[in-house]
Amino acid sequence: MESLLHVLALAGIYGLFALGLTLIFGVMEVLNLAHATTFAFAAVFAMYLVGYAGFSMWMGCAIAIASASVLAVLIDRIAFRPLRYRGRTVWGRHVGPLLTSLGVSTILLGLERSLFGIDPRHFPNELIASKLFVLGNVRINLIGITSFLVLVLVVGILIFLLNRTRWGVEVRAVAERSETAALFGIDVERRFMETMALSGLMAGLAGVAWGLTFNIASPETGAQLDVKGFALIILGGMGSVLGSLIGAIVIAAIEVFGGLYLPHGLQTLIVFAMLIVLLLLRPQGLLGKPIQQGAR
Amino acid sequence: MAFFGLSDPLLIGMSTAAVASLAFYVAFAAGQFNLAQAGFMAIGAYSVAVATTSGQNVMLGVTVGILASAILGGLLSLITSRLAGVYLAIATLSFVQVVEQVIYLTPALNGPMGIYGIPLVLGASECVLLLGVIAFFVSLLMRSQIGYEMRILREDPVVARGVGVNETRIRVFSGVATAVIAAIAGTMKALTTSYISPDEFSFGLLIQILSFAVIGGTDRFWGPIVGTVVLVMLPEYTRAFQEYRMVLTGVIIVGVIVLFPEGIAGALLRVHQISRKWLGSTVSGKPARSLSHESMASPTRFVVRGEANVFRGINLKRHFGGVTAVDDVGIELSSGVVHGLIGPNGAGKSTLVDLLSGEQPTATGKVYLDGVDITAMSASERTRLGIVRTFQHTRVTQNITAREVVFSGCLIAARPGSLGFMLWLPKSRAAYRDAMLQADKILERLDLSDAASRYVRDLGWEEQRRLEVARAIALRPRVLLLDEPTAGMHASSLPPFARLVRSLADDGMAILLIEHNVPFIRSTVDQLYAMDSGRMIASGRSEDVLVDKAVIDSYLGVRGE
Repeated sequence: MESLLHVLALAGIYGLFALGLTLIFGVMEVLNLAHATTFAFAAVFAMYLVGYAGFSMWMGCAIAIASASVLAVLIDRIAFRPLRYRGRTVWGRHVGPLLTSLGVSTILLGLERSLFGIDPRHFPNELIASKLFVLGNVRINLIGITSFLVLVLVVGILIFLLNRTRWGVEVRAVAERSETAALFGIDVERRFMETMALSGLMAGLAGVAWGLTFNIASPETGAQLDVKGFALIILGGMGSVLGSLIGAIVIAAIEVFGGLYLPHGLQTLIVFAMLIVLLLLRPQGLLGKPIQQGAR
Repeated sequence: MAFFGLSDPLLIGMSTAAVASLAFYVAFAAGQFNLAQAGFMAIGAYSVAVATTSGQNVMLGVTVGILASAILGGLLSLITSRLAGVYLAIATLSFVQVVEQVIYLTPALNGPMGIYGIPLVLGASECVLLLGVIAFFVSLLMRSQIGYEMRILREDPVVARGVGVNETRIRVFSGVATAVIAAIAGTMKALTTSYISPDEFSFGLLIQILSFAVIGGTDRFWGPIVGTVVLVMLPEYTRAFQEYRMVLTGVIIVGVIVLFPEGIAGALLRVHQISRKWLGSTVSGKPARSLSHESMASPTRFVVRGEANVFRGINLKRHFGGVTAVDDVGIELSSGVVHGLIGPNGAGKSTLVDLLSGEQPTATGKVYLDGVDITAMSASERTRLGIVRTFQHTRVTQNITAREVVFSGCLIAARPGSLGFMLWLPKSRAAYRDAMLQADKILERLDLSDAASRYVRDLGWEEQRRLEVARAIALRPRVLLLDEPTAGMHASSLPPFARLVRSLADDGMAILLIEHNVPFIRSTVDQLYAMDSGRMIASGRSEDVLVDKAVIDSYLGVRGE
């Protein structure tokens, strides 16, 4: 029971993290290496605001999440926008943005180090401890449950927005082919900006959830998450929102139960071995659409 | 050893990283976003570490590491042959993770503890020498047949199929080559540091060397080396910035990619080109001439393989959703004859060419060459049998010179192989010289001699169109499918082009020409097919078809009404 709750808590964080990555990948077809940096920034910044600047818990977290969203838009401006209409080949479209996002991530890490220092930060303990309560003999981590509920809520909202609103149709049109979307009078750049802002929002939520759950974060915290996030994108289906929810649960379950019953390190092996097999059998992922010509 | 005042450890680190970035180059040169290199470095490093610490010969460890990497690299690219772009990147990235975790979990490899006490066999000078040797071989490789096939595949898989490049073969080759070079880099690392652990071969290393390669530029083999040197030296010379060094590195990565998409090497090449122009070199900047009459008439005949052959497609069909682009169409081409294909836009002409060349599969029907059923063959296999096509929208590899485009075509047709060229075998070298001579002849025949040493991307529209035909001829076709070759050509170029087509037919080719210019058809075409709405509405001698009632109604129209 307790480990099941653990799965949900971890799935909440992974899912929120990967949802942002998926969104960028689905709409802009780029892998954002700076996503983990945004994630870590949210966690560190929230701890800085609450621990040092004297903000209240709610206020600090809200500001941190909003700043992560702004940061993501900034990343788009520096890393992706200059290259957006340049690459003609699959090669040019995929490799350039990957590296510029790496560059931006390096810049951010450097700045964060000099601003916040390299030591890991914490929330004040007294604010965190109260978030745990005991029901019978099961300890329940409220934050874990909450972050999973937030994930489900965000997935629901996103699916609604993408499928039921005009805005969603426009975003999907931009994702399909931005040139054609522009011909239909869709403000392509604006939709890209909103997508990045949303993905930053999710990175922020994930970062704050991470901070509240583990109560330790440094600028480098997310480094491992990038690779895991990519794995999750594939597992769930490239650009599929519901897919990343399922992918997150699967990976979290493997990690938690694997950690209990398997030798250390085997979980990661299973995740990535599974990924390779999945790529071979079903390259579009569990819930993805069949890959089109251009994507192949 | 000291090189320009560089310390030995710096030189060692630099050469190892440069070899690793060359591994990336070999994958990228073929357009494969393959990121498995860190995994193969680990395999190379661990096999040499295990061999030396258990008292075996160093060379045994090196050999085992390279062999294992070669086999795994080939397998990996074989099983990922359906993936491209970031999808391939993630799949190969997973391979790196798997290797790392397997090392973690294997007690014999000391798990996360790593292996100590590897003998320091290589010094700085050996490392630099090794880098030189590998760079030399990579440069030879890129000038060989496989090198050209890799570059063609990188720019456009459709062109690659169109010139008969076997995509899977090239992908597997580049996968093996990248694995082998990465394994060598791994052994270099192990034999120069005496201690290795799985953490060193992780995502971080991968991203670092990837940035070396791309910052340097993946257009030329020396690009990744330059990139490595610059980015390794950078921290050495920016000590003054202290904590902002990381920021500076990031700014340089973003800046180079945004400002110079082809990396430092690309920027240097451009500076070189501009400076040559300033110095008044005659190579570039000469105005392009249109086709001249003399050169087209020159009887440079080729021995075309095979005699009177018949290329037939029957009952061909293809639909996209509800639209039937080609509906139960039959066509027959004989050698020595120029066949025309006319019809209004959307009649299905280009789709028919796609079905004949194998670019798209046909839903029903069969395609025969010399009575042999080739329906199941892929586009590249058909090209190698001599069915060559050009594209309605010109598709020529942009980042090589015009001469190289035709030369690569001649190479692919002659298939002299790459190994002989790299090992300097006289026979193989002679084959390459022959191909070059032939390329020059073909360029002359299409009046492209002036454009020969210019990059395709700098050529005008009409020159690119002619270059595409030149490449098709270089492949020694028996059946030549030309999709609107004269579109956008200047009127004064048409008569010489008509003569060229005629002379190619006289050489024994079967030619199919999609065309809209009726006077041109009248003067050039023997047999004419007319299509409308996916159906063949008329066929026969061109003067008969041009007065056919149905053809006039659907396509030609009546003058004065």
